[in-house]
Amino acid sequence: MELVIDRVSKQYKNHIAVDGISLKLQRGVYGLLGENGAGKTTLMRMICGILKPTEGTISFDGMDVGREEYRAVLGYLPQDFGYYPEFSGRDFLLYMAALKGVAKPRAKRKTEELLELVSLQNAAGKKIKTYSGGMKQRLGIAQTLLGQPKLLVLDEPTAGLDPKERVRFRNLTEDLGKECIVLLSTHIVSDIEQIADTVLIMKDGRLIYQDKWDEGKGSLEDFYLRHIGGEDQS
Amino acid sequence: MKHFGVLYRYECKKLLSKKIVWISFSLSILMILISLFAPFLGDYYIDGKFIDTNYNMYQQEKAYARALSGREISQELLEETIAAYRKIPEIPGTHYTATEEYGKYARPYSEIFNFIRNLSGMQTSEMITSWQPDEDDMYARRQTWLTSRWEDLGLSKGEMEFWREREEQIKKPYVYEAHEAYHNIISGYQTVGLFQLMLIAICLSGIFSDEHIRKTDQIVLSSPLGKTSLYWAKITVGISFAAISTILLFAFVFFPVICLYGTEGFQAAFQLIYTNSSDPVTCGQAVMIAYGNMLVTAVAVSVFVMVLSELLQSNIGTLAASAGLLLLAMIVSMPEQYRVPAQIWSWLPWSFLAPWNVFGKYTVSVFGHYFTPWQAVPVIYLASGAMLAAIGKPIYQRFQVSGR
Repeated sequence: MELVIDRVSKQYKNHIAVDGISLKLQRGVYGLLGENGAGKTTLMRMICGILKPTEGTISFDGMDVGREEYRAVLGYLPQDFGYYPEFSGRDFLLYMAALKGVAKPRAKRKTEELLELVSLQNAAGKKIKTYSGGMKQRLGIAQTLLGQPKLLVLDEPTAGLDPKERVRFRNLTEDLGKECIVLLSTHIVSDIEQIADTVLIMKDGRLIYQDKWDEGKGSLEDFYLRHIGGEDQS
Repeated sequence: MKHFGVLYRYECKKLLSKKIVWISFSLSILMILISLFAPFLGDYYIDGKFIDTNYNMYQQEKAYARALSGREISQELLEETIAAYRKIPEIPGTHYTATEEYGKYARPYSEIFNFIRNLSGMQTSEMITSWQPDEDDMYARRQTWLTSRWEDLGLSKGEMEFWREREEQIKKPYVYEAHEAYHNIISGYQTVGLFQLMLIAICLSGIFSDEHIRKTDQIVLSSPLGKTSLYWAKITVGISFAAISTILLFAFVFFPVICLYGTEGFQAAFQLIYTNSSDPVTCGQAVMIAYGNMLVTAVAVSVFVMVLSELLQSNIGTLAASAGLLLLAMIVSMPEQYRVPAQIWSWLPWSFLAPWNVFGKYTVSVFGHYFTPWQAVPVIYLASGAMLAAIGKPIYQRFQVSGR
């Protein structure tokens, strides 16, 4: 199981959002840090095949990012995305299961499992427009797990979650990291510190740090601020 | 296509859960019903003088039409009609329909009189004062008048010959039959068509763009079936909506009209409604042809609106463009002397809502075989719809999520 990102760049007219990033990700949790505009979301969109790189290639176990087979192993939670307000939580998951090609009986079973996993079983029949921000985020997390993904791309997954839900999410991510590649981005450094096996830091479209992180290295937050925040924060 | 049925069902749910769909559909039905019943409301005046209520006028006309039903429009009836009209005195400053004699003698024959006038291209005054009723002369005048019209339209010799042959296929003498129901359905065709195209523009303008506006495109396009099966599911939902809503709107016209006017007249010659036509069809067949064409037009326009919605990624933009084209067709008319542009213009979906374009004279020749508008245009529309859907697919698939 390997995600290969090979010299990937994304350039807009006079702005380079992602600048020649190369990475090889194997099973485990990867925490992506970087300030706003560093290129995290652009990189994630390219990994999910919804944004074409200007240069470079992305593949999973030899499958190119543009292929249906690639998307079949992918679970993606975008940073900011909408729902179908008139759908219930259950409808939404069943719809997403169909989009992921999950067979009907399995889709029904999996939907109920996931609703329970994200503690939405009591609100499953209610319309999404009645959900709180946290409930919507949990529903978003649930949809990423449909169809047994091998590659999970989670852009700001803990946004809107309360502390208790964040702890539950961390535990879930740790478990998922044992089975698949989890790439998550967040501004909350402590989340990364606790769950990520490998820390990736982006600045101005480039990857400036890529390594394991352990307590012996000190505080990740201090390290991150030193590298990202510049002299003022060092 | 994998999971097409499930995706189709959910796409239907997305569309039908929109309030705007139900509001615009209900309004369309309401407006159509109003347009059907409005002629019965109010009073009938000539030169400011009250004659009768519109409802009574209609009942009277209906009774006269029933009295004439089944009669051949032959020499005998022509003579009766003209004789009745010649009883109308010439009163300066008074319209002939306002005279007592008109109501007493001529009005029972007004349907026949108007038919002769329209069929032959004669003027009312000429018919009343100098024309000697003659069946052969009436048809000869019709042929001369039609040929002159065909020349004005810039028809080729082959086309004129084609229409001459079709004209000969029409059974003569014409037999008059009460046909108000079909007349009203054909008269309301353009109104229903306009509402239908507006309904499609309003309801389907968001079918693709909503995904971009809601930002659900990210999860949809990163799903295995989000780029292929979903595209076709959305297109099929739009087409189904267009087809079913057309059938429903037709039902909302057809059943009230049939209840009001009765079913008789199905077998009557279409020329009783549209004298310009040289199509050898009955009134009932003409209604089916017209609404069959509307169904195909609606399907083709639905694909156009959906692809435009993906291209513009804006509901408002799509709606504005669709409504703009509709208004343009209503305001602008192409001069007949420019044959090719005039033909293209009259065959565009927005113009093709007019019955005179459906049963128009422009044809398409394929290997020396001529096809009338209602034969050729549906084929062109279906081919165009399929082509547009095929063009829209890569536009949808290659969408890039950026700049948010």
